[in-house]
Order: sequence, then structure tokens, then C-alpha cells
Amino acid sequence: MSKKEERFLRRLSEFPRNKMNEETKQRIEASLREEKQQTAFLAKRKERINMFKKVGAAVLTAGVLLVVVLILPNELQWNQTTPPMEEDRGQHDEEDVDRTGDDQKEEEDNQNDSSGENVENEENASNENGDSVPELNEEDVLIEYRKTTEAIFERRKDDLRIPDIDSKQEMVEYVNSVMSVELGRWFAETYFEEREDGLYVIPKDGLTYLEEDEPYEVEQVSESVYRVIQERDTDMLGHIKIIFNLAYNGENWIVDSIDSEDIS
Amino acid sequence: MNNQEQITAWFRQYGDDVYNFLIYYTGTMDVEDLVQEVFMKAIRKSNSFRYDSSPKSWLFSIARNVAIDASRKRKRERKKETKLFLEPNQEYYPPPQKIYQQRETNKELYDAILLLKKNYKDVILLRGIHECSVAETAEILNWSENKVNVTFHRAMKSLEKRLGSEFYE
Repeated sequence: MSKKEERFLRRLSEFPRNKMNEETKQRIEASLREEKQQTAFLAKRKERINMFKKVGAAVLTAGVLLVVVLILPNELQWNQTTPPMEEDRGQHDEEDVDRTGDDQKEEEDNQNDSSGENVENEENASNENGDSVPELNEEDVLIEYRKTTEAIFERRKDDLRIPDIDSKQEMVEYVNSVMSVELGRWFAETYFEEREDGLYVIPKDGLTYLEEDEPYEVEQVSESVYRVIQERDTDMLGHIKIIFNLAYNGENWIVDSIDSEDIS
Repeated sequence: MNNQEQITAWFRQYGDDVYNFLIYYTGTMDVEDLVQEVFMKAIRKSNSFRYDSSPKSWLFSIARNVAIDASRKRKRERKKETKLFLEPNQEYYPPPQKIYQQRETNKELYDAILLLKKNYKDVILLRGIHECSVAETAEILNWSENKVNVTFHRAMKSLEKRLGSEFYE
């Protein structure tokens, strides 16, 4: 750490320390005790419901097994003692076909059930990972995206050269704190031209940004992916829905991609 | 002692740190309700506390999210007020003098910190005013230690540019 940084940190550490008064502390402590009791009560209730569910499932399973044990030997005995009749054979075949069909259906149902489980498992997995996903503030992410990209264009020299960023690859790296690599590549390809002496802006229409003061919707796709949707009706764009796909990349919330849908 | 009792005990130990953090983070002195909200959330999420992290870092990361939520809620309320043609509240509350009472130049510095972009503000407040180590700051912000150092350096440059000679006072 440089001396300047040390001096600066020392200066900040001189800011006053604020403390709560005792009365406030006691009031908050009383609220925390209530919250603790309520949380414990809810946890117990959840535990009890789970226990009832388990007991219910066990009773149901035992019932089904009992029925199978009682009926199956009789059914087998009946089949062994009753010779199949010629005219019934066709009917049995049909029944077999039906049964096969039913079995297939059942198999399909089982498959559907298990794929449902997969979705649930995936959701659980994402929840487990999700503990580390910070809460999204969509406006902050999109404002940061706007500020970062606008600042790049503002830095351009009179001859449209961007100082300090000399290649498209450097541009992709520069913007990766606010957008995905893929979007960064598109941004670099669309708006910049690489020449021998540096990177130059291609003059054209700017990027589309969220208008924070206009209504928009936020859709959660998963714990780490959200869609921010805003309707626009302008001469330039027409009547469209613009969709900002935001994703958490393990370090930051970023703009992953931007789509639009024509709704005119 | 179970997790929830532990958090009540942490309130006595770290309550003032969380209170101080929220004052500087929000720029207002009126943060007692937010402190309560932080510890209530901690009780509800007590099972997610990892014992390899420090309680203070964990509480600060909850406090930061609570402060962001509160600011988002205020924004929504302002939007509603605007729609109802009422006078909207001010976006920026001038921080009370108590926050920077010791030195007059601290006023300029603190005002400039509040106007920094969020990443810069986060890292300056945590490293500087709350005296968190690089590792603690990385844990609270869920960043790498390298990112903490780089962002701190850039934030300092940005302040230096904004404040000019005031920065060195």
C-alpha cells in the first residue's frame, strides 16, 4: 500500500464513531426476542407438518402393500385354476394391448415425474448456490451499464480516437464489469474500428438504455438470471419491448444480453 | 447457545458497528429501524451463517443489502408520489453535520464519497471509515481481494480528481 493510500485511510478512520443509546438498544433487543420466539414457533410448526406428512406417506405405503399382499395371491391362484377360453383370448389380447398402453403411459408419467424432480433438484441446487448470489438492484446494474458505456464515448478525442484503449479486445475487457463477454464483443465490433494507432469510434446511433423513470417489469428467470422488460414507442425504434437480460457472473450482476420484440 | 441466541448476543457486540455502517452508507442518522431489520434478518437466516466467516462481515453484508432495499423502496415511493402529482421527496438528503463533525474538510470529503459510483463508495466506506481489512471487505462485497485493491485505488483517484487540493487536507 502506498503512503498516500495509508494517509487517506488514516484520515477516513478519524471520522466519528456513532453509537446507539441504551434505550434504543433495549427496544431493539425486545423486538429481537419476539422475532426469535416467532421464528422458533414457525420452525416447530414446519417440523410438525413434515412429521405428519412422513407419517401419512408411511401409512399410505403400508396400506398399498397390504392390499397388494392380500389381492395378489388370490389373483395368481385364480389365473392358475381358470383355463383361458378361446373366445376370451382376443379380449385378453386387447386388454394386454390396453395394459401395455397404460404401462407406457405410466412410464411416461413416471418420466414426467422424474423430470419434475430434476427441475426441483435444479432449483434446490440453485438455491444452495444462491446463498452467495447478492440481491439484484436492476436499476443500479443498468445505470452502471449506461454510465460505463457513455463514459467511453465521452472520452473520445476530436478525431474519434479512444485514449487508453487500443484494441477491441481491450474494450471487451474494459466493459466486462458491466456486461457479458459476448455482449462486450458485440459492443466492440459494432461501435469501434481498430486502426494501427488505436481504437476509433464509428459514428452511429447509440445504445438503448433503460429509462428508469418510465414503467418497466422485472421477471425472475432463476436466482441468478432476471429479465427487465420495458415497452418503447418511438419514431426511431417503433413500438417494441426491449428486454435486458441480467445475470450474476459470480462476482457482479451484469447485462448478459439485450433483446427486443416488435409489438406494433 | 443456538444460532439465534448467538445473534442476539452479537447485537450487543456488533450493534454499534452496524449502526455506524448504516449511517455512513445511507447518509442519514435515522437508521435505528434498519439496524433492527438487519438483526431480524440475521435471526431468520441464522442457519446460513458459515462459521468460517467473521460475524461482523456477515452482518455488514446483510446491512448493505438492507440499505440497498430501503433506498429502492424510497425510490418506488417517490415514483408513486410523482404519479399522484404530489411533491416528491428529495433524492439526496444532505447528511447531518454530526457525521463529519470533527473536521470541516471532512464535510467535502464525505459529500464527495456519497456521490461516487456504488462500487467506489462501498470500498471506500468499508476500508476507510469502518476500517475493514482487504479480506473482510472482499467477503462483505463478495469480490476477490484483488478487485478490492484495484477498486479502492480507482475510487481514491476519482476522489482526488473531484476534490483537488481538498483531498490532501
